[in-house]
Amino acid sequence: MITHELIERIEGEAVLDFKTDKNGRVQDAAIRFLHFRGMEAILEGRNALDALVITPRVCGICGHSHLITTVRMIENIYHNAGVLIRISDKAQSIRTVTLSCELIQNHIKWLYLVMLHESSKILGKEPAVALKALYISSAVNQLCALFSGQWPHSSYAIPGGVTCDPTHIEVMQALRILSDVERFIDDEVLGCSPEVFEQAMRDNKILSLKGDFGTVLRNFDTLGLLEKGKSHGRFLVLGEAEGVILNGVRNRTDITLVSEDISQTFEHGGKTYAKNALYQGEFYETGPLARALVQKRSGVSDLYRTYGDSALTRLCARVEEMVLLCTQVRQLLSSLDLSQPSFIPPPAIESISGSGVGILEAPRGSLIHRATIEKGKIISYSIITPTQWNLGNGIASNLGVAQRAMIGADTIAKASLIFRTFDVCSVCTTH
Amino acid sequence: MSDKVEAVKKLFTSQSSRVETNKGDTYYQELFDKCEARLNEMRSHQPANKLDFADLLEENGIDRREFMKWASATTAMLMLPPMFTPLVADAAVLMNRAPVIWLELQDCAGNSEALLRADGPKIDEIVLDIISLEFHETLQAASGHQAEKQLEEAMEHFKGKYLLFVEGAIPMAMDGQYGTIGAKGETFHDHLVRCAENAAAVVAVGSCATFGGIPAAAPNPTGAVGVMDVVKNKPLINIPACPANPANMVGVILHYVLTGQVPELDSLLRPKFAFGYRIHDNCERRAHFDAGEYVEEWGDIGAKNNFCLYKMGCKGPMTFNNCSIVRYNDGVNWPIGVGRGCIGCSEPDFWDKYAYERPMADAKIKAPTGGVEKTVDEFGLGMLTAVGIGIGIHAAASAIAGKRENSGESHE
Repeated sequence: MITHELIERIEGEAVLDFKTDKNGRVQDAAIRFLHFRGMEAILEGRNALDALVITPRVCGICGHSHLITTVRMIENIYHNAGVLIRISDKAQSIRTVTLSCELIQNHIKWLYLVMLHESSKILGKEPAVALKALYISSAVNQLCALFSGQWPHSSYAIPGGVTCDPTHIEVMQALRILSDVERFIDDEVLGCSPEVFEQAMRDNKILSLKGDFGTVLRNFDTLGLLEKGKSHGRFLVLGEAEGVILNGVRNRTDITLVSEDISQTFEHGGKTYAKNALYQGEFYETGPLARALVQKRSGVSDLYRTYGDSALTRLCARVEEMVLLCTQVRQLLSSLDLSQPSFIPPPAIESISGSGVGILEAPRGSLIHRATIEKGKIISYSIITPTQWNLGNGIASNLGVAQRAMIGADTIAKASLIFRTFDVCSVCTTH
Repeated sequence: MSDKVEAVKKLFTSQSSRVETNKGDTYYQELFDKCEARLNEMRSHQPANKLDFADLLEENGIDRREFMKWASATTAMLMLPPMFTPLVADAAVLMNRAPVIWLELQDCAGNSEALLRADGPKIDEIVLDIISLEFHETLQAASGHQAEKQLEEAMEHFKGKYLLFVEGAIPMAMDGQYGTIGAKGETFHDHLVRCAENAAAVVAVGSCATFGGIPAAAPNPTGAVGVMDVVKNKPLINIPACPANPANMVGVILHYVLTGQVPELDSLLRPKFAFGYRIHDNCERRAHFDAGEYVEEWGDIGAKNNFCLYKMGCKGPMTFNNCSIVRYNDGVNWPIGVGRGCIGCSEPDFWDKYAYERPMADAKIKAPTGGVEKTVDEFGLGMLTAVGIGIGIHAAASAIAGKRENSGESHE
């Protein structure tokens, strides 16, 4: 039987086409994204610096990641053109702080609005409106806005640094908000301290967590999904602390091995606007789980050894990352040297011709921007988003990551929930 | 297309944005009586949402005094005299009687994210919580086919009464196939037309829904247009900006609950309470503009001293919006606060005209002359011209100008 399932409550909409056997078990699943804007075509012909205000609009929930990737790309173009670009430690730290804020708020929204909500719903429990999660993600966005001006859709980062010039007052405000966020994570999400959480992962006692995350895990357990959702077990991190894991072996990455496959798109008789992203011609999982494994973070790695790339491990990796990012933001804020310059002027963009690439670890995984410019004007622009890696639509002999994870699920509802553990974003995927 | 561009330019440069902030005692007394009657009627309606305003205020530790402060500020934002404060407070409590249906079309969901308390003062957040968002693609409790059913039910149940909020542009090229929705693959165009049919009013939220926004930027690959190009014969309110400010979304709904009418609009169908003034008129850096103190380069001494960003391409002097008053993210900050100029995101075609560092003199468009402080405006415009000459032609402008010529669009 063929069933078309709409996936909503994400950014945009996705359609899953399921083929099920007589017991309702999922035999095949195809992923379709049915809208398109043409962001790359809009970028072409414009001044390269215009990309700084345009690319954040690719996505309403990870636009800041697009901004920082664009900045890195333009700086890389300068570099490849033989121009040394200097960025102060202060500007670098501020960029990392704002980017981390975007990841933290994303993970909170995903955990409450999607995972807690959807898993409760399948179990027939009335899902509560997670207002507290919305308030705290709003606070994280305020922290971001202290430096970036606003969230979403800021453009405060520019080649050579950042435009903001924060004082101790902004830093103090940021630290105060961060304390609230940390308290929320301890009291509400985990129900324990980060140390106890870390130990629980190592001791495989994660199901006894008292907080809302514990509820999510127990919901998954009741549904028999904790160990489901296994995919290829191939992981890719192209941004910070890069690395690729194939057959359990970790290696350095090579950006030239990245390709896009358009065989499943409408253009070639397929049924989606989304292009597949491939590494060495294969689908790889990207995102928090890939990052935790490539960085050999102990708690998640321990769980992976027991449960593989299952829903359990994927859920824990995203929550653990949220905890880790708070610690990093605190360190960065505490060590900001405000006397450093925010911005070190590079030569005019109109004097620059050449190509470059910007790579970054966004909430959902590796994000790549590539462009060629001629005297500052964009000749070509290419964006590969994290969801293109995870939500790619393969064929039976070569399944996409989420596609493979869904096959074998007892019911369509469970397969859809597995799909959502990858943190679906539709608008990014097609852009 | 050329006619349309000219028409938009004419609208944009027209005088209609003048704001009348005092309409006289008789007018306000009549309005007051009408609002009072309207609120009494609303009180008799069943709430469409189970969240209770008083409970939520208490849960969030907001006392009556704080709430009345908010009501008083909101009354001022809506450009009503102080006598309306108690009515605005009542309207906030009754907002769960206003059914709202939210559609997401060709967009990035950024306005939904803004609504998801990306910003907005705290009581606004609560007000948003209690607005009965009957159907929202991102927020709704149901999903998939269940959600489609819920939409149909909501449209039937609140026939002629619901406010339809629309986020995102409408792709018209290729018979609308660049954006489809639901199990039947209905195009965004058809979906919008169907949902708008029985709406009390349609509210286009964000730059994409209002004027086409980023998808409509040259070369407009998908033939994207705004809601006003599709929905006809229906009260329409535009709340542009990228993202739209939640305070203005709340303002529109409050106004509807309060008066049962759409607020006073400018020639681009934007509520005057929010878009009656230019960013520049109330900018925290305005004094530096008047004093001729400018940032000349990112990171320079002017940047360190928060000087005016006009020479860095700030479009505040020609952009009608209340960001300089309301700001973003709970009023924490806004782009100019971090030394990044305004990109004019609440004006039509801003992606092709304004975005990034093209100072106004090169932006191929006349500065609008509307505004309340005529003398200040005239002074400011004189200054702009002088500064414009001083800056010379920016390469970015010629790059885009070339592109626009290629795409067959005319210049002013």
